[in-house]
Amino acid sequence: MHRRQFCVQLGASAAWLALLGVPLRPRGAMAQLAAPTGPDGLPSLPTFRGNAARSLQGLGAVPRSPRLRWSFTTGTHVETMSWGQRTWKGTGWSGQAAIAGGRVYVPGLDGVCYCRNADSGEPVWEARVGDSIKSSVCHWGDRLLFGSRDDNLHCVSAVDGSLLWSLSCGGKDVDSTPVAIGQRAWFGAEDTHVYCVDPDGTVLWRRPTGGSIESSPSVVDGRVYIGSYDGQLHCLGADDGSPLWRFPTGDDTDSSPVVVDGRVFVGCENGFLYCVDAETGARIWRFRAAAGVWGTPAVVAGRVYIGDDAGLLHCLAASDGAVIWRASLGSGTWASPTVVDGCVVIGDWDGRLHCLSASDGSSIWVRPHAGTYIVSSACIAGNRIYIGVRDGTFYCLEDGP
Amino acid sequence: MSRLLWSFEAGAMLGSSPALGPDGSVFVGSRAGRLHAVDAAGAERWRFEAGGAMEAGPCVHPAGLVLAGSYDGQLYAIDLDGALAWKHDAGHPVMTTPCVDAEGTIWVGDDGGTLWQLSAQGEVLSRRVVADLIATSPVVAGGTVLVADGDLLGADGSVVALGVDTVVAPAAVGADGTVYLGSWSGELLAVRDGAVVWRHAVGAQVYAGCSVAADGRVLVTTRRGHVVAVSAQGERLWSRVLPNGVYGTPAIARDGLCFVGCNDSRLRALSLATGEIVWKERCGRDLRSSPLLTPEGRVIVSCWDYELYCFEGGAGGPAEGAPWAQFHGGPARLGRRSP
Repeated sequence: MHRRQFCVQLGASAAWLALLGVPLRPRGAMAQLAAPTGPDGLPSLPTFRGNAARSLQGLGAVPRSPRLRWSFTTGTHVETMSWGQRTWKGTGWSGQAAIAGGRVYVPGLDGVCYCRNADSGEPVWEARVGDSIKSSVCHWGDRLLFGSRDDNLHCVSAVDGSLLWSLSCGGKDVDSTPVAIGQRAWFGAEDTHVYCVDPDGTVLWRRPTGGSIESSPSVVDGRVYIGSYDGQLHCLGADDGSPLWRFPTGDDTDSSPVVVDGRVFVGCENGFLYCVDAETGARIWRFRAAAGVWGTPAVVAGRVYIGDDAGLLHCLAASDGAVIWRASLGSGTWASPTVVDGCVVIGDWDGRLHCLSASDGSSIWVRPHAGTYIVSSACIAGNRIYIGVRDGTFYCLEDGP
Repeated sequence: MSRLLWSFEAGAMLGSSPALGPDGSVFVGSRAGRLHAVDAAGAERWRFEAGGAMEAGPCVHPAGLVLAGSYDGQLYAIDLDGALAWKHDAGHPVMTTPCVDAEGTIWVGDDGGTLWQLSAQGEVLSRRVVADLIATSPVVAGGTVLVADGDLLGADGSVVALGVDTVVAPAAVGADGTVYLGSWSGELLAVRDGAVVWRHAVGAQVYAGCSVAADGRVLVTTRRGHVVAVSAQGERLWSRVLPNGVYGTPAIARDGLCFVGCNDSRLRALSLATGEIVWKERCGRDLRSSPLLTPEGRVIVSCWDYELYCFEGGAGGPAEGAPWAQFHGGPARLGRRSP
């Protein structure tokens, strides 16, 4: 394991600076994921798509007349390319905030993980790493995991943001979001490997696939499911990474597999959405969207929701993939639909955040963000919507009068 | 050796292959659901608005109809002046290029798995469900019409087991009727008389259809950027790796060149004999479809940067005697062997 110390940006309190030098020790038993509320009774969406099956998108009510409760602007990270400079700010793909214990954790493209009071937006701490954080944040007991374009998986204290450890991943970006259960966490990396680590950052196993991984794994019943650039959906044993089956998707698979009732649902860059038997890897049905799929499907109450790069939002029957309704967003999307409280919330390439009826796809409201775009997935909890936009702004929306 | 003649801005992503009309017009469909007709100088002649994305290239029927499917579930037949002649409601998205047999009958697949047989007037002659979804563009071969989907499925109900992972690429047909197609398991397969006669490992997954030269050699590309030339007997002639992968079918020209569009946004001309790169031209983004080679030797490519580019290729038109010189058999994209 490679440990690296980064220059951590100070928040209001300097007290935690001393923690940087404190030797790391494994903490006590980590909280199990998938609890809709934490031990404190507060809403908990600890990772991308809420749980280890990637099947929980939100909790509580969706604001029907959204208004701003609070917002903040991330910093800016400038990358020098051969052809000029590229500016990174706001949140990226998949870029979903995590919420737990009354705090919201935001992955910034400026390379900072922001911890804010979920209610007031007051800053709690900030943790800076070496490059953009494209992945979503995974809350794991008293710590957080997130990947970065600095080629590391980082673990910081959820309490104060101090860097606990960093794991170097083959010199390639880490855009996959970890999932954690008990004493283990799993994630993928662009170095083609699936990793399993313990809370101390020790690699328990790693297993290569045939291509770069940006998909976030799901872990259900002792199995890891993950997509890869190699055009395969992989199923591995969670304990040792042993290959159990693989299913050909036909192109780069950045979407995350969602496991519901013994079935795996996953999208693909070639526009296909597959439903596969979780036990055997046999195809149950497939569906072709109008263009590529980069989002992760939402599987709720027997229906599957997915957006595509041509701007269609599809609602399908989970049983056979038959189309129930289809709605046009007006521009393409790479975001994943968040389905809760009878609503579908999703952002698009023209910066609009849409709220549609989950039952028939009719529009409930549209919130424009001119001159920018949204590729991040919304976190909805406690009757509020948390969403980052590429112009640098992170919003908390609540219901208006 | 090469130069840009013109480019046309379509205002939306172009991910499908252009087709050539009898008067030199070029037809291309966009993700925004527009079919554009562009003249030989790159000026737009007309446009047709469909109700959904056009992700598959059109084909041009000899009766003067541009046939283009859309995600809205329609196959549109548009005359050469841009007027709608008829449309066929398939009831499911049409995401592959139709084919037209020697009698002028149109075959088109939809995402409900139905392969439709239509007259040039749009009347339904027959229909058959051959799969849960038509995954690749149908081609005319051996007295029937074939789609590839793991196995090779015929409109006549025939099934040839290929024994591969899956197939995402359409078939090509050689002069003797041999059908060639690549698989996701990274093999080029030759099928004759209902059986696989040889397999050749090409190094990576095949996303696009093959092309077949006059001497019978087959060109196949892979997602990892391989361009491989294999003889009609299944022997490797040469192989070259281009950056970032290839998602389109090579076009074989008269003067010993072939043209390949790459995901690294470059169009390359390779020697058909050796695979050496002769020239390359840069476009704005990925070239994810197949170049159109016109009889005048112009090479026209669709690009993800919303532009249609036309280059002078430094070679003649499609190779004479090549049974399948480019995507879907020829510049009109009829999905059948050139006579």
